[in-house]
Parts: sequence; C-alpha cells; structure tokens
Amino acid sequence: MLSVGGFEALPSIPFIHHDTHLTQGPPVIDLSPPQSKESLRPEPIVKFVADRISETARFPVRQGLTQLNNGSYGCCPEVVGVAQTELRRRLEGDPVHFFKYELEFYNDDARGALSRFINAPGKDLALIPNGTVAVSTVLNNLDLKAGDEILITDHEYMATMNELDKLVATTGVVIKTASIDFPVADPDQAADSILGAVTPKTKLVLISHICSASALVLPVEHIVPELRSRGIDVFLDGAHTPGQIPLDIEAINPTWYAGSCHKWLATPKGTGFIYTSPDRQVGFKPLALSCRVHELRDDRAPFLCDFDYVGTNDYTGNLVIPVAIEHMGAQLPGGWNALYKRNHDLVVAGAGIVCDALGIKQQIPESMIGTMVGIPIPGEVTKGEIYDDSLWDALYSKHDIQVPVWALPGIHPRVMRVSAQLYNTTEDFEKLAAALKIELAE
Amino acid sequence: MHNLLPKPAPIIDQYVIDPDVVFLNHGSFGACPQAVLDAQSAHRLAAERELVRFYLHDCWGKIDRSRDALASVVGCAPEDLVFVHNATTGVATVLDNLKLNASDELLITNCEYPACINNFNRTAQRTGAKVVVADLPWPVGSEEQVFEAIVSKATDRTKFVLLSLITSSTGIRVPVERLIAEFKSRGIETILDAAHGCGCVPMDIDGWGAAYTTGNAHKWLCAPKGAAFLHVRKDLQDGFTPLIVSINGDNLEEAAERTGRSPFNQAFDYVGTDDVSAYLTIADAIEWLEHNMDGGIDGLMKRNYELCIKARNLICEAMDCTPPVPDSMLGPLSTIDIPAGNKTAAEVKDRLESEYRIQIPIWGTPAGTIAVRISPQAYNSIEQYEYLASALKNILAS
Repeated sequence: MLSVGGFEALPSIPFIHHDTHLTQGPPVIDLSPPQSKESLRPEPIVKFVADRISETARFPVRQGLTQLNNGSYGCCPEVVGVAQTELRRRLEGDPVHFFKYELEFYNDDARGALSRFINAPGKDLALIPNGTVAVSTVLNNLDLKAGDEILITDHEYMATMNELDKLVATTGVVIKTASIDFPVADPDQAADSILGAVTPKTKLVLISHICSASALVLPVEHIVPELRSRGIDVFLDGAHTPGQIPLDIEAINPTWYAGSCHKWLATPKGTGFIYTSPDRQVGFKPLALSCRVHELRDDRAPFLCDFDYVGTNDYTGNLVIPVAIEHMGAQLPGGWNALYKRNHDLVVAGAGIVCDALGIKQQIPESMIGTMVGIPIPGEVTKGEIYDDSLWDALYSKHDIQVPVWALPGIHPRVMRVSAQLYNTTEDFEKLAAALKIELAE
Repeated sequence: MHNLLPKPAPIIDQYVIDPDVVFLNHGSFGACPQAVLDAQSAHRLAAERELVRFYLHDCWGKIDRSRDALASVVGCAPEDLVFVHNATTGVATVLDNLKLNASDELLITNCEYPACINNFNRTAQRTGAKVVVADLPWPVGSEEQVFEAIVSKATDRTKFVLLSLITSSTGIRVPVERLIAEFKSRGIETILDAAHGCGCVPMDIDGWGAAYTTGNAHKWLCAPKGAAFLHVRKDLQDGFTPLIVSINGDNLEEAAERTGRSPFNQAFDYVGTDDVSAYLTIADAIEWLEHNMDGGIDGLMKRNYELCIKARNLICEAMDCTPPVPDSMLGPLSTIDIPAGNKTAAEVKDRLESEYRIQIPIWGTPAGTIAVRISPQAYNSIEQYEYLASALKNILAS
C-alpha cells in the first residue's frame, strides 16, 4: 500500500509564534484565521449574475477566427468573466476582510457546485490552478521507494512525463508504460493493455481519463475498479474531462482525480481541482505552505484549509465555477446532458467531414470520443514558425483556422486534434476540410 | 456612515476600498486601484480572443514588458527575474532547489514570516538540515544590534540564511546590505524575503548580491493579487526549476531558443495553463503609480515613510509609550506595542472594527502588551491615524 509522507502537525522544531511560552522578544504577528463566522457569509457570486445566467453565452473568440481548439485552453464566456471581475472588485473593497473571512465561504460555494457536477463530496476537493499543478502535487505527496512501479500509458501529457522524470531522479521509482492503439482504437485493447502491464511492484497507476494529444477517452469505469480491487492506487488525469463528458467520481472511485475547469467548464484560466479519497487526506499538502498551515482548526480539516489559502493570490477563477456550471448548463434545453451530446455529435460529424477530405476512414469508436477527435494526417511534423507543425502554421496564417497538429511520439507521426464547443458549427469543419485539401495538395 | 469617519487622502477615489472602512492595513494584502484592475481585465479579454496564440506566442512579449518594468524598480537585469504568485511560493521554490544534507544549517530570525518558517520546517524534515533561529531584539536599539544578533548565530555548518528586507510583523528595515556581504565572506548565501519590498523601500538587488530574492508586487506596487517575483542570481540559474516542471522538461533549451529567451525565463513563463493576467498588469501598476503619485514611486515611498513616522509618533504620544524602533530602521510599516491595561487584544480589535470601523492588525504580544501595526499607503491620511489614536485611547480607558 502506498502511504503519504505524513506530518499532521508542523513543525518538528519549536515554532516561533505569538503564543509560545516566551515572555519577551518582538511581537510576531498573529496571522491565524478566525473560525468561520456565519454572520459574515457573503452573497454567493452566482446571485450577482442571476439575471444573466440564461442569456446566450457570448464567447470572446476573435471575429473571423475559426477556433477548432477549445481543448487546449477552453474559452470563457462573458458572463463568467463579469462575475470574476465583480469578485476582484469585492476583494479590493477590503482585502483583509476578504482573505480572512469571505474566501472560505466562496471556496465552499465553488466546491459545492463542483461537487454536484462531478459527483464527489465537496470536503474531498482541493481547488488548484490547473491539471499540471494537480499532477505535481499528488506526485510530491507520494511516499514511494526505489524499485516501486508507476504504470502509465504511452498517451500521457508531456507535463506529466516531465514530473515523472523528476520523481524518478529523486526516488528511483520505475515507470512502466502500457501501449494504447491509435488511430485504430478499441476500449478493450486499452483496458487489457493497462491491466496486463500490472506487476506485483505496481504501486500506482496514473492514466488519463481523456488523453490530451490523441483525445481518446479511456474506459476508466472498467479499469479503475479492477485495479482498486487488487489494492493498487489509481490517479486519473482528467484535465480534459469536466464539461466534456459526464463525470461521476464516486462511481469511478479513483484514489486521486485531477481536473482542469478552464477547458470545458468554461471558467477563467487557472482553475481546477484535486479529488483525494478521504483516507489519503492526512498530511496531503500543497507544494508551497502558507502562513496558516500550522494552525489546526476544529471546524475545518487541514486538507481544506491548506489548499484554500496558499498565500495571497487571485483565487477568483475557481470561485466563479458555480457561475460557469449554471451559465453553460442553461444554454440548451436539456442542460449539460444536451450540451455534452451537442458537442459530441458535432465533433463526430466534423471529424467525418475532415476524414472524407483526407480520403481516410474515421476509426475511433464513439465510446472513446468526447468532444475532441484525433485525426491522422499524412507525412511527419515539421516545425512551423509559430507552432509545432508547418501545417498548423499554414492553416492559421493562410486560412485563419486554429487547430493543433502534432506528433504522438512512438504512436503516430502526425495527428490533428479537432474540438467542438458551443461556438463551433458544421461550417467550421467544412472550412477546415477545404483548407486541408489546399494545403496537403501543395 | 463614512461621513462620520476621518477623510482618507483624496487618491482613495481611484481605489475600490469600501468608504465605510477606515482601511489601515495595506501591509497584509495590499490594495489595487480601479484603473489597474481594468488593465488586468483588458489583458484577460485580449487573451480570450485568441488563447492558443496567447499561450504559445503573444504572452512572452507581454510578460517581458512587466519584467522590464519591474527590473527597473528592484534594481536588477530583467532576464534574472521571473514571476510567481506570491513571495511564499518564491521561498518554497528556492527551498525546493537547494541541495542540503543532514549536517547543514539554515539560519533564520524569529521575525520571519510564518509561511517561510513553515516551508523551512518542511525542508528541514525532508533533508535533515537544521533550522537555527536568531532572536532579534525588541525594542530595537540600533542597526548594529540587529546585525550582531543574526551574524552571531552563523556557524561553519550554515549554508543559507533567510533575511527579511522588512520584517512583516515588526516593520524593521533589516541591514541586508551589510548582512549579505558579511555572510558571503563566510561562504553563506542569502535568501532575501522582500515580501514588503518593491514600492515600499528602495531596492538594489544587483548591488546587494543575494543568491535569491523574492517579493510581492501586489502589496506596495498595488498590482492585482497574485503578482510577485523571484530573482535568481545569474550563476545559480542553471538547472533552477519551478515547483512544477510543466511542459518544460528535456525540451526546455529548444523551447527557449524558439521564444528567444533564457531557459530560466522559459521554465517559469509557462507553468501549466494559469492566469498570468496579474503578472502582465505589473507594468500597468508601475505606470499608474509613476503617473499618479507626486514624484512617482520614489516620491510615494518617501511620502509613506514620513506619514508612517508621523503616525507612529502621534500614537506613541497618545499611548504614552516610547517608539520601539529608531526612525532610520523603518520603512512604511511600524509596529508599536502599547500597555494592555485590562483589555485583551481580541477585544480591542473587535471594538476597533465594530465601533470605529477601523481595519488594522492588532495582536497580543508575549510580553502582555498589545501590538498595533500601521502601514500607510497613498490613500491614507494623518487624520485617520489621529482617529485611530483616540479610538485606542477610548477603548483602553473604558
């Protein structure tokens, strides 16, 4: 079993603080937050934009640009941005009051909304800036020794690979890799490959829920219970999941789940969460410790306190999660389920249009598609002036189409990933197909 | 309500501060003017129009604009500066990069910021290194006293020393120039915590020569929250990494070459998709201060220092106590400990807030006195401190 590096109560050397036994010396400031005061609860931010929640989402994408890459950075509609600006204004009205009293109420509101959206208890969610921070934080809290194995797939995100390299260098853990077929994909092959690569030394399985570069949705509902029943910890990288496909963390039951919200939940940049199962929260700490981390409170778990305030920072992106969930959920009759289906159907049809133009067959089963599809492109990537590939550059500079083209090292030499969000239409894909015909003919 | 409260300085109109609060605590979290918040919103919107291009291309030039502006304020070469969200993260990042073992000592003072102490303790637990604490005097008699208190704790096992440029709880301007030089001559490198630094007192990072310097722009430069910097001396930049490696691993050199910056800059300029709008706005905050303050940032620092001394003196006079720190060892923060009488600090703080609408840090000291920290910024007036002094007098006499 894996255990987290445990220190419940800092510090091991005498802590210098105003309430030590000292009777002289400088007056060291009292920074401890007070216990929650219900009377100071601020108005939930979602109420501020209540009359605009159901208005048609206005995405600030530049006029003329065909943006087919929601997957990388998302796009935040105007109403959500307005809510963030209001929170910043409220903060600056009395920054001390905000950081001491109001922040944790807003955090609880955000956790509450997210909790219902991803079906995970709010008390098990730490709000953090992005999936990469989440991966790094979880890896930093592991207590692994040389020779222990971490199993991943060959479709993991580059930042994850870099963090793993760092972990290998510092601890001597061994990384094992399961291969996932692409572009001829099959959920059973993916599951069998991952489960078949488990050894008695496997301590952790770290896999994407939705792979970043290839866009494959992995059958985690099938894989995770099997691994957990064998006593293996599972960390799912769901950077692309919230808002792309329905997410039910309780049903999947991973040990850790990391998600970014600024992609498909349409929050401002710098938003995300780490779900940590309750038995792993003791001693689970952020990468940097704040001035409050040694203050144990009887009304809130350290897990929440430690992540809710990691120094003076702009937490407003995460605090408007409730606004984004309600606003995006109000766009179609049928709410979020209709939105998932609309974007999924559009990207499947769109990928079909592009594949037709390329004269190839789309070979990824619909169960492995959310709202992004990876499409194989002839040839190999050649660095462009702005982007990773000259075709990416050409589509952007000559056709004003933004769509990424990259290599999947060891899997496929050249892949284009298309995305479909509310602001996309079939015409976007038709435009891409026409442009591809021109560029690939040259 | 606010008609009954003392008038702040007229520039308060440009801030967002609640008119029903006598806001006397710039020191803890800073305060950002509306025009600077507007600049931040504009940066966010510009990025949202074309996010892919922003994160893969346009952001570099915009980050460099703030890097250049800030470098001229803190006195260093721009390329040696990277952005982090707060000084706490800056210190944690430095600690994460140090090579330490069980025989090493880390020297700090008893006036360091609790977050720094927490991160030092964690590093000690991980590496076995020992944290040694130098006790600063209180009240402070002279610069020499502070210098000696710290230097006397150094041993031949001391590897790094953490110094505050200005101590957060007591407002002392530590003689870092002399200390850094003295430690360097003994082979000890300095980590300088300038959380209260830029816009607070003049800085000369290159001249001082600390190994690492971190500081907040959201405090005394009035930038939006989450704007801070980390300076790493040139000879220490090779292999220095953020807490999060992100997409910059083996390909860092190549990525840096493509964007025309140093690997050190490249590694910190993109650490996952993050809200960098506060970083981009540092340049706007500096411009705003230069244009709106008499004598620009230099003039502002002088004005705030003078108001601080004046305010401290009038509070000391009203409370019949002696200023605890020489004028020459202060910036715009000053802590005064006053006799508590039969009151607790919590009681005094509650009454200042509820009856007088004053927002100010008040806390009980080990010696049984009540500490008050003032930290005047452009929008504060001497009338507000007269009001504070009479409020304190009334509460303590009741």
